[in-house]
Amino acid sequence: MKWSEKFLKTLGSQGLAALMMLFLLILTFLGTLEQAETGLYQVQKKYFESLLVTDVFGYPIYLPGGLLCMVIFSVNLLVGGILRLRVSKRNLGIFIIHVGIAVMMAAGLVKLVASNDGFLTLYENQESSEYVSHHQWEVVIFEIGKSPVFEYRVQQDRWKRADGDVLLPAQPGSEQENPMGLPFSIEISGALDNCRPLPAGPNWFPDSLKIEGWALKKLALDAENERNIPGLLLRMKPADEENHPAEEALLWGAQNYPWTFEVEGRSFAAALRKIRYSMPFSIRLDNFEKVDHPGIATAKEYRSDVTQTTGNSNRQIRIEMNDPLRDQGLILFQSSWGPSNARPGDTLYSVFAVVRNPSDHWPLYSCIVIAVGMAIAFFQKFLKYGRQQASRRIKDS
Amino acid sequence: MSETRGKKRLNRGESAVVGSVSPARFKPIRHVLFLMTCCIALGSCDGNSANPDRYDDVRIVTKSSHPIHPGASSDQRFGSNRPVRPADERQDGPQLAYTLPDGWIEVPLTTMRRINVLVAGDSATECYLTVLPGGGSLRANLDRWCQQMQQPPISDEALEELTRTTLLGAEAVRFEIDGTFSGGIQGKPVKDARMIAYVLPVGDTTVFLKATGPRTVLQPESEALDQFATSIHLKNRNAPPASTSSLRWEVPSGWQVDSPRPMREVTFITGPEARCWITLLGGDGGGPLANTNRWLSEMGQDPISTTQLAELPTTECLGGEATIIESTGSYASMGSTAQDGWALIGLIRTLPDQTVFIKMVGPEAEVEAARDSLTELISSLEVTR
Repeated sequence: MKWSEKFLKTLGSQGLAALMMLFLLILTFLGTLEQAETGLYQVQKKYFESLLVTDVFGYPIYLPGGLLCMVIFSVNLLVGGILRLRVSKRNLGIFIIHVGIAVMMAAGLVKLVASNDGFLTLYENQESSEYVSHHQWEVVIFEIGKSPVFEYRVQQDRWKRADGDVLLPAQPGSEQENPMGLPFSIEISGALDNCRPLPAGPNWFPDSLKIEGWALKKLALDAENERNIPGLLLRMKPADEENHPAEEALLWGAQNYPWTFEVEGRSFAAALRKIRYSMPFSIRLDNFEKVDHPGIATAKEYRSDVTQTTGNSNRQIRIEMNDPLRDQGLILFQSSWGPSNARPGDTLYSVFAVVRNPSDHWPLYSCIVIAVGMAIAFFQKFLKYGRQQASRRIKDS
Repeated sequence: MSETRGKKRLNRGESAVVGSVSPARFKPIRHVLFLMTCCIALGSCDGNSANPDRYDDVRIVTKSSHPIHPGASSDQRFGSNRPVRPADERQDGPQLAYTLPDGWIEVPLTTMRRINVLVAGDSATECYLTVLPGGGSLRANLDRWCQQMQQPPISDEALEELTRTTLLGAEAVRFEIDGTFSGGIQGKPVKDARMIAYVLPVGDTTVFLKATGPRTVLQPESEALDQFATSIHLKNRNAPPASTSSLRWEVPSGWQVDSPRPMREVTFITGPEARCWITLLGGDGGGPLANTNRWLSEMGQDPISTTQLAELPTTECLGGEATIIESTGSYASMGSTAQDGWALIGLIRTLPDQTVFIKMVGPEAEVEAARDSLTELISSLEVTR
């Protein structure tokens, strides 16, 4: 047997599939235990969306991450269950089941790679065409007082481990996209996943850089990831550094105002915020209704009447529990309302969970394929059983 | 193909579904299926990245959603005085309008500040309007400001001689002082500073307009500041609110729309003390008889029977007949102090799935004077949905 055959045989073997399932079982077990301490989001990143797990409860234990296991598992399925399977009438159902599982795997991969989600909060008569990520952060630089606004963005993944790296170079701009460009570069350092800005002294003397008497105090990561607020040091270096010295500022995820600075007579702002995603349409909240249970202020049901504007066309839609708005790859669910401490008569806002998932319907398709495959397989088994019983009766007689 | 299928059989110990077929025996259909699966997965990823809503380095939006405070210090950016969300501005009390002097810059409002600007666009200055319940006496405020400017309190004579100027259409006290300002949001003393403040008591609240900053900046802007104070007024007081009410109405001449109240569609100021409001309740809202008797009890009158209710006069309202309830006496509602010599005019119009209540109360003379305007309001009422 050639080495390539051996390799393919191993790659498509049941043993490898069993090994991956064992690792997934271990990861699920460990993740479930650790989730109680470090929170769902952190565990999901560490155990299930990683290639390698390098520590378990602080011990240096190395395990393949959930992502790696699923990739190997998918390849195993494709090679063993589809490519190397010799399709015949006898195993047609099995083959279809494997195809269905492959579609399910692909749906997971596409969701991991290409989906995003967030939330959209609207008061009545407010309109928006963007939603805010639940967990991901970005640094954004834009010029003040311009319309349209060009937001230059740097994702959290890029600045998380940055140490004075130039993450946004000076950009001359192009006539097509942005005729003005950026006359400075941006360096980022000292990023903290969870911190609070505090005035330095007399009770606290920070190790990190102080700017205008303030510094970022590092805090332990909270199990609820939404409570973690990052901070960093941003350094703006003008392209014409000889005539304009570089400037530095602290950015914090919950700051009251962006940091503003001037370069070449133009005013810019820098903010650290959760990633904003644009939608291809805007949503205006026309009416929000909350119906309470009799005698108590607990919501029995709540719904939002919205106007969806796409280009020049409008349409009125009601979004309520289990009846989301689906359009152009986006799904808007009615998720909650607020403020939670509202008194009778207070103005309420409506919160929508927004999900962009290109593989939104794939699990349904895969379930249908799997169901068809299982139906064929069971029917074949039933026929085979019938034939066996018939031949046994013939032999007996 | 059938020959291959016949020759090769699964062996125990190998995969239940996997045959040990060499790559050379792969069937084209399986390659096609494999490629299709890969293409679907990759195609979806690529489709998303080609979408204009994907994450990229530059995003173009029509308007920035950030509150901008030019030149904001670290104290302002990280301190506890947070800007309010734009959504809060529209509901929280009366809206203000003003003419901003040239070069001045508006900065985001905070929970306390109804107007917030930088004098001459200078980030070392502040100018803001606050409305405080009570607000303290004029003497107490002046003493506090003198302390902030590190100056001794002014004398009673100087207090009496303070100039008057217009703020919100009324006469307000104007106070000006130089010194070292230590009470600013930035927390650092500003030497050679000036403070100009306007104080206007309105009922049980006090309106303050206060500007602080380097004297060299505020001095040449003093006249502009007076003009700015004069220009401040209530915005669109008589415009029907852009509410979600299913009723629409025309505001009668001489009436003013009061700030929103819980449970009410709208409240009108119909006289110095008289008020009129519309309430819309689902179903019968408790029933005409119960509501009529509640209103009568507020006026200190005896309840009436169903027969008496049926005999009450009616008027045309919203395409049907509305029952009119009129009473005079001592008005006390929900435990408030009784007001002698007051009158009540109420209307109840029952619609198929909701009931409209219109109620006007106030001193008899004021209610009588507003009777025609009430008729005007009733005839302008429309159901929008």
